[in-house]
Order: sequence, then structure tokens, then C-alpha cells
Amino acid sequence: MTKTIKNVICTFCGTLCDDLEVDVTDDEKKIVTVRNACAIGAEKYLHVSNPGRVVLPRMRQADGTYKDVSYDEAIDFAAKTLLKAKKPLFYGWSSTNCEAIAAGNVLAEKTGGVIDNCATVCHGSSLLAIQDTGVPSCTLGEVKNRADRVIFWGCNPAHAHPRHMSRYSIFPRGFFSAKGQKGRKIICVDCRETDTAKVADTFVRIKQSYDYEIFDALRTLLRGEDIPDEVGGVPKEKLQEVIDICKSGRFVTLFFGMGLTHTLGRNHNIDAGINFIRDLNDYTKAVLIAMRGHYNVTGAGQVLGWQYGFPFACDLSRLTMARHNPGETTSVDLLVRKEVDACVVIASDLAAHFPFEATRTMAHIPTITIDPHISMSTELSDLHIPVAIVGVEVGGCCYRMDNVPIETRKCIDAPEGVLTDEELFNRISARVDEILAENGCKDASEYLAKMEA
Amino acid sequence: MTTGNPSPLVSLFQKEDFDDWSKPHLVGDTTEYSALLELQKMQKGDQRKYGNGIIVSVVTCTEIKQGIAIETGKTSPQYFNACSIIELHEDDFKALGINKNTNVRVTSAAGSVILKAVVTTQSLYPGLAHIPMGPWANMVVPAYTYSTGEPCFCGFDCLIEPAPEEKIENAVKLLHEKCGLKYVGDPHYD
Repeated sequence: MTKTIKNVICTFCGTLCDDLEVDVTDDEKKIVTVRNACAIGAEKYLHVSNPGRVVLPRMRQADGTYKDVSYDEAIDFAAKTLLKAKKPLFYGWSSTNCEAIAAGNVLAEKTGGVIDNCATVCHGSSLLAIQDTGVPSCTLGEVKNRADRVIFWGCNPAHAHPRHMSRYSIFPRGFFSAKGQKGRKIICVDCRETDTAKVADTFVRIKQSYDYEIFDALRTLLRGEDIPDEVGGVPKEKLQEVIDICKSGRFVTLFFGMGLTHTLGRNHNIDAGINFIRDLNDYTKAVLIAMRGHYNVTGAGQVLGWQYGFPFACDLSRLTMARHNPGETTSVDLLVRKEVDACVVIASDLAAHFPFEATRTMAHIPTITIDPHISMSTELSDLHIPVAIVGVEVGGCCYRMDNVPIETRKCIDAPEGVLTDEELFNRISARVDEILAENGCKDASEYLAKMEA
Repeated sequence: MTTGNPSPLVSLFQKEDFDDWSKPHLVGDTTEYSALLELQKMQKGDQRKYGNGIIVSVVTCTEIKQGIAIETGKTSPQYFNACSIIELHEDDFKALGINKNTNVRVTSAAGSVILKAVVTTQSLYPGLAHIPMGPWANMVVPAYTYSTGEPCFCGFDCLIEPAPEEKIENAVKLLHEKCGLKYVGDPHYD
């Protein structure tokens, strides 16, 4: 027999779908079926019970092979590596819960590290623009119930957030949007005709990296001024059509993604986008929401924000103060310039998703990867510590892309002996304290000075 | 060039020597870079052809197949199939003189990688190519961040040349070899 767990929170993308149904075996050891999930979410739950799961930490040996070690050994190695490093980098955090992030921040503070989350290569520029300009935003529930004009700009929810369109943005019927898709006008702006563009009413194909110019042109048209006949590969008539659609709506929502933050302009594109939305508010209600990728990348920013005041790239290496300087304290720059001498990759895959120049540095400095699965980072690390999977084997607080905190649920037990992220960080922190006490040192800088002397 | 992206970044990059990772030096020393510079000089109007290759602007994005494969496992064949490809417009296949599903060498200011050229399912325009995010794409992604922390994942120029004889490496081996680490085989690969 199986048991059905209802209203499970899917921990894959920033949409954090909360209506999954998971069938588990009676002993709560295995997942049998998943309902309501997208293809990616289903794969996430179903592959958990596949054979080959790593249940013990693995340490790389001199010959390049890995050997299993105990958690105690791994924790000791991690604590010593971090204390020996002048400036360790703690990168990742976006696929774990807020409790683990808070525990990890304590460790980073003790060892004088730099904390950075996946936003640094994702929506970091958006956060910079939001700091500069502000953000007129709303929750996804409001989008579902009110939005009648939806713009997707440089994002592709059909691939990256598969249930976003059916739960919130295009198809659902809400309180003030009873006609569902028929009552909504969908605009997609992108340089390629994505699968999202195919379901849009209006597709605006722009030349790659011309987003800023087009936002500018739209703002000019909105103010009733004239623009050239073609801007960024888009005819004037098409842009006027977009403006007419937006102005005639009651509630306009702009969803934007990597198409804006990864191209030329970065935060300035988002700046222009926010200002376009602000201008549009002279005519109708308009908001924008960033399409955050990982399920808790927003939470990682939230925790860092309320603890240190910065949403990403937070440098604690001075031990007494937190610094944030994009371009200097951001992971890619730190790694490319080789300014960090140890690296902890948590709940993320640095080696697969950073430019190779950054990955190479990571491969050459002592690296500890904390991840339930085998990934590119684990294969380049000195130590791989497996942990329980958040949302499947352990619960915890996660933030949806619209900054709504959602408590995730545990479905099955973790393999015996496997720690959670939070437990692991607490134990490494405790070991760091022990080592400092053994050496009679007050903090990490004193320890370093003593070791060097 | 039709893509309209003049790629002003190229001259800004720094690249380290492959063997001695502790000594940075200008990217201009590498053959890849000089090829690209020469190529940029050649571009006039819509002229994108260079030697037996073409120059295209590349974007790297997430895709659903890549997303599923990440959950299946990064050492799985699904991940290999989903990420070690480059999607091109049909006109670009003609310009390259190759059939679909042929291996090509993709070279940017940051490096070079072998990928399989496939026909896009999400239409591109000629001169724009797409590589799904992953270790293969990141071999050619320039690391310059314009002081924002974000590398140039979208909109960098690449030279694409036919390389039907070359083999696409698995991700772990590729990373090990490029990092100058010893690759001892991976028990997690099938």
C-alpha cells in the first residue's frame, strides 16, 4: 500500500508550486508516484529513489580517485580548510532552505568568508537595478486574479518555469480575470521565437542585446513622442501596438528573465524596464516580477539581506563589517582574479554554470561541495559532503519568486546517517569553535596569525 | 554582421596560460583570440563567412530538456545529449555547408569547444545561435562581468567551423583536461 501526501511544495524552480501529490511507500522510504508536477519537478522527486545515491562524504586522494570518509572526518577537514583560508568563498545557497542559509552565514562570519548566492550570475543585476530605482511589484496571486496584460521579456517560462503559465500568468481564471486566457493579452519580447513566444498574442522579435533601446523607445512612445522607423530590429508600428495593448489594460505585469540580465547593459536594462513600468502607471496599474530560477534563490537574498543588509556578494572577510561591491566581491570576479583561497559550493553547481575561467580557479583551490547529488562541482572538489534533499527529505522555509515565504514539506526519510544542510553547518561551526578554543584564539584572524608565526 | 552586436568586450578580456594557472596574461597571446580579432576586422555589412566557418552571436539559455537532465544527473547520457549541442538557423547550416547533427568547433574569445550542431526548435534568426547552459557552453562564455558579477552568458561572438571528425568530450573529462587535472575516469558515467 501507499500513502498520499497532498499539497507538497515542489522545490525545483522559483514558482514553488504548492499542489503536488506524492505517493510514498508505507515505511516512508520511497517515492512511488508524483502528480501535478511538471516534467522537471516529477524527475526531481522520482529520481531520489534511484540506486547510486551518495550517502557518505567522499574525499579526493592524490591519485585523483575518491574514497569514502565519515562525517566526522569530513567536518574536521572542512573546519580546518576554512580556518586556514584567508578568504574562503561560500557560493550557492539557492537550492536549500533559509534555516540552512542562516546556519551557513554563521560559519562564513566565523571564518571570514565571502557569501554569494546564485543571484550573482542570475538576477544580481536586477537586484542592483532595484536598489537604484525601486520596484513596483505584486504577488503571483494578484497576477492570477487581476492581470489582463502580461509581458514576458527575455524569459522563457515554457522551459524554465513550466507551470508558471498555467498557475499564474496566462491560463488560470481568477477573481477579476474570470475569462482566463481569453481575457488576457500576452506579449513576448525575445530575440528568438521561444515556446513561450508561440503562445503569446503578440511576439516582438528584437535584435540580440537591443533591450535597452527598445525600453527607451517604448517610453518615448508612451509619452507621445516620435521614434525612428525601426529600433533594435522592431518596426515603429509594432512598438506602438505594444503600447496600445498595455495602455488599454487594467493590470499590466512584466515578467523578465535572463534575456535582460545576461546581455549587454545588465542592470541598466532592468533600470529601463522598471522606469517603463513606472511611466505606464500614469495610464493603468503596472507591475513587474523577476523570474527567479532556483526555488530558494530569493530566500538566499532575503536571509543575507536581513542579516547583513546586502542581497548577494557579501564580503565578511574583515570579520567586523560586511561589504558589498559588485564586480569586486562577486564570485565570478573573485575566482577569475584568484582572490579567494578556498571555496565551499553549497546546493548549487559552480563548475557547470560558471564561465570556465572561474571554474578553473575553483578546481585549483581547496574546494568542499555540499550537494545531495553528483555534479560537476563534486567531481572537481577535494571533498563532497552529501546531504538530505530539501522539499523531499527535509522541510524548511523557501521564498517564491515574488518574495512570498512558503514552508516546504518532508515526504520521505533521508538515507540513514545523512545530515541536513542545517545540521552540517552547525556541526562545522561547532568544530571551528573547538579548534579556535584548542589554540586559544579569539577569532579566525588570530588563528591565521598564529599559524603563520 | 547582421546580429548588430559589435562585441566590444573582446579587447577587454584577460586569459590565463593553460599550463601555468597562476600567471595571468593577455588573451591576445592565444591563437583563438587572434583569429577572432582578424575575423572581426573582416566583417563588413552582412559578411559573416570566415575561412570555412561563420561568425555568429551566441546566447546560452535554460531549456526544459536540460532542466530534466539536471535532475536525472549531471553525469547521465540525458545531460550530455541535452547540453552538448548548439542550435543554429537553417541558413547558417547552408552557410557552413554541413548537414544537421554534424559536430562543429565553436571558438570565442574565452576558449573553444566541440559541439553538435542541431536545427533549432525555438526559431532563431541567421547569425544567432543558442547553446543550452552547462559545462560545454561555459567553455566559450567570456568571464568579463562589467562590474556586475554577471558574465557574458548572452550575446558574445563565436566562430563556428565544421569539425565532423572531432569527438564531443564528456563534461567531467572536459573540465578535468581543461583545468589541467588528472582524469581518472568517472565511475558515475555509464
